[in-house]
Amino acid sequence: MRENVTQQNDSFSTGGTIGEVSVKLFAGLAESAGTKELRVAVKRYTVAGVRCALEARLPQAASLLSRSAIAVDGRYGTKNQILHSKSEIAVIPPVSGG
Amino acid sequence: MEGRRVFQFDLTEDPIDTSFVLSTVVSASAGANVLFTGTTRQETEGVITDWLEYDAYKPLAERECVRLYEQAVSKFKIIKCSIVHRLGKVSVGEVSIAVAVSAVHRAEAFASASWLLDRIKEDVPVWKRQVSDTQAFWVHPEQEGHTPRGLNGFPQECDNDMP
Repeated sequence: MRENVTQQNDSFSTGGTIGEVSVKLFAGLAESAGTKELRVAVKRYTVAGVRCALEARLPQAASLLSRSAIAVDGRYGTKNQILHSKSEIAVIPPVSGG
Repeated sequence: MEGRRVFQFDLTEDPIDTSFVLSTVVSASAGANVLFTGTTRQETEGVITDWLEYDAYKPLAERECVRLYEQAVSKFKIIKCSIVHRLGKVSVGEVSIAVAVSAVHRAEAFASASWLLDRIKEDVPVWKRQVSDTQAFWVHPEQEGHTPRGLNGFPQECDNDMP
């Protein structure tokens, strides 16, 4: 069902995570992570689950992450929004266009 | 010649043709046309900028600009609008953004252009990197008094024990 997700059945060896999702990063977050796209292991297939996974994966970017929104399929996501197959997930740090 | 499209949006790596952007909002119904251009400034709070680099999340940037256009129609009764943002390297003096608006009267045209710029700078996922010969950094402003879009429901507690 979830093409954006890699199922992992052995929860003992994965610290309670149930799979991975790909996340697009931009600007200072991408710079901090050293990549524009990251796969993170999640415990829940929700926006909140992705946020928690990112906080664990990128502790050096904690401050910026706390001020960042998460978009799903080109729309700002809500906390308990469930991720579906082919969901495109992107982290949106504070913007500075214009 | 009046084009039929009432809203145009573009993100481009190429220099922005501001005359063309203005021409796209011309309408027989409009008595006022406003063009705003933002350019790369050489000095910001004592820090010299050699150039800016812009990145964007295109699908969300376009969706947000459409939403802002629809709000501007509702608030200011604008007739046409065009928003063009430059991506990549933008040298000092070059245009990074052009916003053109047409309305029946000048008050609505000026007010809507100003309002659109304010909203774009807070809601649209575009980021600038400020580059000089001594430093380079992405700009992520603290948005005091304004909760960024998409942050509703956060912050949250991450439970590290529960799957």
